[in-house]
Amino acid sequence: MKTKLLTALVFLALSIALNACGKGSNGTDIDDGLVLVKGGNFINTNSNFYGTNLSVADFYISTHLVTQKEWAAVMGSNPSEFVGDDMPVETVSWYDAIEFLNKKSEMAGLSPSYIIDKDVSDPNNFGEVDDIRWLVTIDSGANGYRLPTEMEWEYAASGGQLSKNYLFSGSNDPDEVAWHFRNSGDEYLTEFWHWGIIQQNNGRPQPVGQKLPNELGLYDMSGNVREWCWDWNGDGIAPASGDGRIIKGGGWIGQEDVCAINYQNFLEGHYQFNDMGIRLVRNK
Amino acid sequence: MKIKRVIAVVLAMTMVFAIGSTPVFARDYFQSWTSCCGNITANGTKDCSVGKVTVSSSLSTGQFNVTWETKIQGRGFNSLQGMGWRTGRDNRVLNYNAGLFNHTSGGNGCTYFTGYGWMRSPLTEWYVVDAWVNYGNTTGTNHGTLTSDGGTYNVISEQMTGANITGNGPFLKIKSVRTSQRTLNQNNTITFQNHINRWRQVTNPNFTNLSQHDYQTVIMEAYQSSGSANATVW
Repeated sequence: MKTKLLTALVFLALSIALNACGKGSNGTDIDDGLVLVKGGNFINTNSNFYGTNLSVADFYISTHLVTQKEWAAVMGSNPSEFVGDDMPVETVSWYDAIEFLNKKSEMAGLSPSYIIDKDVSDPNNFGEVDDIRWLVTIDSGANGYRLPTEMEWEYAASGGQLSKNYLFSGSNDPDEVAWHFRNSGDEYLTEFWHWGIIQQNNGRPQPVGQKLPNELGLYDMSGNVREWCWDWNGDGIAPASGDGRIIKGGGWIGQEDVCAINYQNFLEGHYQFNDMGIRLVRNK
Repeated sequence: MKIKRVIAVVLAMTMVFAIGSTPVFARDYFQSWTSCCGNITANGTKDCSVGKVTVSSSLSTGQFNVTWETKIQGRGFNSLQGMGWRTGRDNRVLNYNAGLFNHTSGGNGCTYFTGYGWMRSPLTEWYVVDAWVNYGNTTGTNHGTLTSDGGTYNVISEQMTGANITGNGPFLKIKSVRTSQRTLNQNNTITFQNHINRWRQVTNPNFTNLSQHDYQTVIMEAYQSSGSANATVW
């Protein structure tokens, strides 16, 4: 009990200390609930990037998945299947996320991170079934909201420089930190994964921030809904083209192992699934 | 003292033998599910408005027994029991002895015994359908046949999009469906290696490097039917 209290106090203090109050384009402070992640190389040995010379720069990231309330406040409607203000927004495509992030930036007085050309079919998109294919490029000088890169997501999920070397984000026990197919319904399932079983058990996403946070105070990096990243799925690190966009974290439908920080997966950007959501990132 | 030493040696030899040989009963997973009444972990009865299921099972013997009843036709009552392994193997032979009794079916009801599991690369749900009552036509692309365990199987694949072991998304489904079904109440084998070898040769190149097993089971699934069944899996 004492340990839990101490842990909560530490995270509270950390959250206050790291809370981002960045400057908008008009010079005003933005208290948007993002926390600063100090950059560096990967010290979690479970990471796909451990042992490389790769490092990430400082960046801000939201402690929670974007909620339906936050989404609706920007977009005016809620696309989610499992409705609730504090529930993570889901059933959003990668393109929906890009539009949301730009619009949220504008509302906050920040410069939008993405340049969207809906009239040009992206020549770097090798997806087979994506029926949107907008050409989306990054405005590198922007200070607005954006998706994490795969490296940023995995760095933050792995605990950054505070990493305790967990396999899941914040624990080696997925049940402590992640909503996955076994624990996201009425009863804890012990069976093999089976979609009929999950449906019968009323499996569903859960309100954000209910499980333990990771070393950086981030909730639901493992489990609940999967998270869109910016990167293409292709050859090498941050490829210039690919057949879909990287997704990370695992969600309420999948098995525990897909909630691990190092699990790699992707989807074509047009898909809108009820286990796909997003998290905010900004440049420092 | 000598007797104790002899017992210890015998125990040690037994353990070495057990570890060094292939265990006869090596399953590590049982599951039972009904679409309307909830889950039954190992033993028990679930009774609801549209159906009823009673299950008993033992991982140690590999046996499970089930009776099921569809109370209202057209309400999608579904019952599934399975036993197997958390991690599959190409060269595993799925052994089973299954019996199906007093089967009745209304409408589109069916019951079938099948090898069943998932593989990760590419993400694939697989079936080796061995015995059935009223098993309907299988949709998808027909890839010809294979011969295994004294019979011929049609090989059919299909591109799917939906819920799978990693979350929602695209995945592949591949089935081997026996052209003449197995005789029940006798020891039967599914030599998985024969199936995966053939699946890797189908015209869809996605299957060429099919690998990375997830779970591997033998299941009995009943849909809108009533009856009883038992099975031993090893």
